[in-house]
Amino acid sequence: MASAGSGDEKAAAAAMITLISSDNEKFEVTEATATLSQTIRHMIEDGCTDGGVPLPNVTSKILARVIEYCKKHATAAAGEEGSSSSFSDAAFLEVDRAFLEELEEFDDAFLEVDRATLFDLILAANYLDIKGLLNLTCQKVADSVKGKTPEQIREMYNIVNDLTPEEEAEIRRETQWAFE
Amino acid sequence: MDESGSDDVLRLVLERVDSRVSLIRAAAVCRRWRRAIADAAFLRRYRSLHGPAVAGYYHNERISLRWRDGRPAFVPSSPSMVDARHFSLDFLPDVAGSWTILDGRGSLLLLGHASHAEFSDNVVCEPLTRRYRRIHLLPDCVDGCYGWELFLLDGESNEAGGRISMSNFRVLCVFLRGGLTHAAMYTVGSSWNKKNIDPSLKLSVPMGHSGGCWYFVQGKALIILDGSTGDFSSSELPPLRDWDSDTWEHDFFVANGRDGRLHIFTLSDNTMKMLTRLEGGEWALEKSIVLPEATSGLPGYEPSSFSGLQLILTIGTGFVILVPLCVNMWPFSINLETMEAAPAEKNMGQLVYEFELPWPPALHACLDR
Repeated sequence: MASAGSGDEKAAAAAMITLISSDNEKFEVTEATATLSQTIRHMIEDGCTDGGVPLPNVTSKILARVIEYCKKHATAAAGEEGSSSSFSDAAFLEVDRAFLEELEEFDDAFLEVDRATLFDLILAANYLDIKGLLNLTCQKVADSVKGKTPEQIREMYNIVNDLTPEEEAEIRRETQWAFE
Repeated sequence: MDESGSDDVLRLVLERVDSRVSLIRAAAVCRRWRRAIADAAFLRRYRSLHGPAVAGYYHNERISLRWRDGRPAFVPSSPSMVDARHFSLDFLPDVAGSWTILDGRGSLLLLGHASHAEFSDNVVCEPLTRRYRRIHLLPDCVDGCYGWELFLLDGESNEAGGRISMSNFRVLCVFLRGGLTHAAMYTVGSSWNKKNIDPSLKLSVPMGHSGGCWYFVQGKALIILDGSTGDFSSSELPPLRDWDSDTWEHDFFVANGRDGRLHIFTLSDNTMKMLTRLEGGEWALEKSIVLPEATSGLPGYEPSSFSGLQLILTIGTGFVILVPLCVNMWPFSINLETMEAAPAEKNMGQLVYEFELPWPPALHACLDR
């Protein structure tokens, strides 16, 4: 895709940032990719990224996934900017639509992870302040709760029930209509 | 989520659960989830993100076109959120007698008894929690008063973003006495208090309710009763016709569009017109349909049906049901968005009352740490 190419060219010219995971693994990424994280963007603005950005809350396994997400979405953002001048409106819309579809497919595939990984991704997205990723992962968990009974939710997420049967009955009585 | 997730993350997930019923069930998972959801700041934010949840519509059934409004009935929204039996009103006192819905707002209904002699109180109820409160008739209405109207209003807004509940609602009574209009407000906990209004106000020509307000015609003015404040205001009607004529069957009504804009619909010469209020307050004709043309494809259509008047049978949310006044009366509905006609499926009485799930939900038990 032409616009993806233009994104790569920009990337090659851009400054590189080193991210360091909690288990001390180093990841080289472009500034465009890194600044999807508001946390890192602020660090860059403050000029404290020389010698790498330590991320003591994120393991290399999770950081690799986060970078995969950011690369894809940074490319998409760059592609949209680049293509707007070089296509007619109709062609631009077509490319735009194709991009969005591709991005959606990517997001769907990206979310195909086990629950533990999903929660680690949420924590990382929250810590790194990556709005798109945080929204994507939180919505995935929120959707999984829909239509479930409290017992099914507990089973799904290994949550210990700290309510006594009497308390549970009392809770149900308050909003009986939502449980039947 | 139990060990690893912080409360921040839990809130981020829970505020994205876009079903009220699922949110209430999630509040029964464990103490931590319950506390997170029952928190007033969380509930306020949730409400601002998701808005009210319309569970369906109450209306008063009518047995035939010529009968006055009768027993309440409920039509769930699709897909249905809550099992239909929870909308029953069988918990009301004197259930054998017949109740009629006078107004509806949020998760509450205001009802009156068919026989004032037997049961002069009105009731305000919340069907889903099967609770009701008797509202004694205002003493001024008992004697020497010619007609009164009751309106259900929001209470004080609370910190969880709720506007109206069984412990927080108001009822406005507007009544005529000695040729002047008076008003009184009922508040939970303090009964009736006089409310000052313009004594020359007339609410005898209603235009329906929409977007939380009621509308009336008085002379050349559109009178608006704001259902959250209980205050009246007026604005100018389009100089289209004689609005205040003394016909007992009115052929105009108001409705809000999806974009929140106010529309006036009028019926005359077999034509339905839609006027829209613009930013500056003036009215513009936006759409117009010729009813015989719009309905010509419907079963029961006869050109001769359109020789006289059309009666407005029901003003619903996003639709209106009309019936041509002719020998062979066949009601049809008009979608107010598309202005397309369809056969009317049932007789729904004069007005339809949008019903929302209670907000905030009752989450009081087991919040101790």
